[in-house]
Amino acid sequence: MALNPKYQEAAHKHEAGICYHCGDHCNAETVVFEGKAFCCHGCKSVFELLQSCNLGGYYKYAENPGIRQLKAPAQGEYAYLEDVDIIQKIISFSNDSIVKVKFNLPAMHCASCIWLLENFRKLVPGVIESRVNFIKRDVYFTYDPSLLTLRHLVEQLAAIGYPPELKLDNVSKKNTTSTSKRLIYQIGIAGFCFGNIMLLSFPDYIAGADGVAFKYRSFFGYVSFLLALPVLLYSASDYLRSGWRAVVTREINMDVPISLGILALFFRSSFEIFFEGGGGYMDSLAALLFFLLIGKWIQHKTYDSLSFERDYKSYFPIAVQVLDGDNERPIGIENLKTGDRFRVRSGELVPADAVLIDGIASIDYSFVSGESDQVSANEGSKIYAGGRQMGASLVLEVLKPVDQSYLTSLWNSGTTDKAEHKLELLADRVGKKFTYAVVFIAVATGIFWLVRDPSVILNSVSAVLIVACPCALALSFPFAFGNAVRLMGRQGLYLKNGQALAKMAEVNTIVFDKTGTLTRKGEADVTYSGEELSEWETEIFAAMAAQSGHPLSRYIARYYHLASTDVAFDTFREIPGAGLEAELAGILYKLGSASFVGANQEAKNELFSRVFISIDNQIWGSFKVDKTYHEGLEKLISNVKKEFNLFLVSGDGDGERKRMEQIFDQKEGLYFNQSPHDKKAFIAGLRKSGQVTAMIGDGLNDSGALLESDFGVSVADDVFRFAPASDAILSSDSFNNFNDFFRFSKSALNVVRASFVFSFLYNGIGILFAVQGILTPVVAAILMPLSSVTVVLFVTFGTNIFYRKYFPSRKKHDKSQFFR
Amino acid sequence: MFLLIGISLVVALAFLGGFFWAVRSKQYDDDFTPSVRMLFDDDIDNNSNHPDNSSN
Repeated sequence: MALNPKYQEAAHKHEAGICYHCGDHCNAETVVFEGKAFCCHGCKSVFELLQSCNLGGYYKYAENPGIRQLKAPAQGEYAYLEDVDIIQKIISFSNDSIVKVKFNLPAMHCASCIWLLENFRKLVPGVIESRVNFIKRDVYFTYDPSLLTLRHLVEQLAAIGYPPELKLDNVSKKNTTSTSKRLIYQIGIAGFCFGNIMLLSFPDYIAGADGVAFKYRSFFGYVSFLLALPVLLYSASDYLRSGWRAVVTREINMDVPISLGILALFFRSSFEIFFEGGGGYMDSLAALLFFLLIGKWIQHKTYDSLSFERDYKSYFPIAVQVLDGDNERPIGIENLKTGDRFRVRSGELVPADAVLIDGIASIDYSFVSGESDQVSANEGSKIYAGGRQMGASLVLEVLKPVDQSYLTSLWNSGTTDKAEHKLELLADRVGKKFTYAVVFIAVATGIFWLVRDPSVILNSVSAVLIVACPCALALSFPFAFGNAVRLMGRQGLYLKNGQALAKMAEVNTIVFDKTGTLTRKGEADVTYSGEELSEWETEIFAAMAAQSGHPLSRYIARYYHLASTDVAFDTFREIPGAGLEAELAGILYKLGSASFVGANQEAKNELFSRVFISIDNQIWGSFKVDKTYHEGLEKLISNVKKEFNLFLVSGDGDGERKRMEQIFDQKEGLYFNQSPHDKKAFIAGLRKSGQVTAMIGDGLNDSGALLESDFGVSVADDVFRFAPASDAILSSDSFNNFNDFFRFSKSALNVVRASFVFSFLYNGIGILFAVQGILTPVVAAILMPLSSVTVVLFVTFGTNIFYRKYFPSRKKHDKSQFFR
Repeated sequence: MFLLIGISLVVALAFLGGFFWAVRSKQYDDDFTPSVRMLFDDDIDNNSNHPDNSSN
């Protein structure tokens, strides 16, 4: 078989210390197997498994395609997939011989993934067929239930590094695609009718219709009328409905003049067809809708594989193990009742507010509060939903059902009152003025002709409404913003849609979260100071750190490039909130806070955390763990500060206040110890005072604030892991271009403003014809597409020029890494 | 003439129907995977059954 030379080369890359399976750098633990290097046993065993099933082709279609096995799935992690109720919720179809199921596999990232997943039947007997939809990261499996259980299928997927997303909102089976499909049908109908009516109206374009054409004129008219009906009733229905709603609620928007134009076109044309034997303007009507709908489609077209609407449900497991006497059985979390006792394993989220019954809790609430330190709790204390257990497994008793927990209230309280002070966008403002102007001109024309010659009133007024239809205006927004959204996506800012960009361009206040936003997630500079450690001692401390889930321990472990270790301690204890203690060959090693180790805590106001170590109660030294900020942060902030009001709200303590004051160069507006509710209230306050506010954050603790803000941006290292509902997702490597994104959005809005000049010019010319009552179908048929096309070209070129200005020679954002 | 226009409309409607069918059968949902799928080689273990394949 022919191998791409590039990949052949990759096959021999192992000398360079790159894992053949996942492409990570190999370190101390390198495993060599069949002459290939692997970074860990997990990767090696996947390779072995694939080889044994004759699926070595996996390594052929992309370089190092695998996914590093971060943790082996715990025994029984997927046990709940044997529960009949839960299975019924997940699968989409079943009978005696086949079961169909759809999984979302966020880990899918390359051609090799597609190949492996579509050949899954060779790996797992019982799978009949598997089809991949790469854009959505979905796989459709068909399997034989007599040979394979759902649980086994999921376990196999997890074993090769593609654990499916089995979260609450995936299984609620909501259908979001129907609206976009409807739009496509509407475009199809409008396009079809546009083309055919155009052909039938051709005789009308050639002035002085005579002969054959004249003879069939009224027949052509009737056919056009029939063809225009579906356009009006189906394709235009959304505009008409929205226009009507706008009139009823007195929130005049762009859809009002559009609807007026559509109706005027249709009734005027029908009148001409039935009473004057003419052709009417049905072609213009169909063309208008065709263009408008395409614009709408472009505006809605966005990143299919990104989800901007995640709520807490996206992070919760589907089921938990409930203790029923001595038995454990899985139960869907929405069926959890007050008083149920359930088990939470290490690394799992607590799904409901509960009381600790058994075990020692060491809960990481970063998901809820943003605070990265762990909270320990003893039996009898209350554990809130959203906490992640880091220690051994726990037994909890439910206090409140899932949908009434503190965490859920955080989500639900934000969504209702947002509509009250909705931001009025440029499009709405222009639409409003435009509508008033159109109505004014129409009325003025009517009065003028009433005096002069009442017979042409109807004619000229309807012509005004037709021509004033802000087609070009309505197109300039979606095309300019659609293009700008696409261009920003190239640089690593993924906007939800064009509307989000319109909001972005009007922002004047920016609120930052600290952890994970200004700091890089999971990275820190670690330096050791004190007595020198021998190689053996270093290894012991690294091993201790590696066995703990505490963030500081993880930084230290990573500093020594040790993911797991073979050092077997005689005893090992983790004292939550204090530190680690291990004994080996009669020597006591301690790693932890100053008070735990017995060191004198130096100045408390340090800008970084310190972890002390001792050997046999002898203080040896300390690690300085300094969280890494984005490079060039100070410069970036000082640039941003010139154009925006800046605030900082952080869930962390004010240990880093000094440093933040330095970076922000301001003493006010920096808030620490903010709970998620505080953050949300803070944003709401800013908005009430009339500021157009952007919130830049990450994590669930910011989610309320992100929703509350006018423009919420969540910063993410990779899109699938953590992105709460927001208007945009910013790849953390593009954080430094932050300022340019905002400038570009403002320029895009200016391009739209400039395009108004064009569209007003066309409308003006058209109205000039119309008020005199001499608008012919030819003029209408030429003017409308011409204005649309110029405006579309203008805004597309305009945004491209500004894109080049702000991102001159910058490399395209490496999507593959982000989407990995 | 009436007939001709009738025919042309029927043909056009057929294409419209074709378009709807394509949308409904999800052909536009994923425009990436098929482009990669067609590049995959056939199963390697089939080579033994088809000697012709292994000769090149």
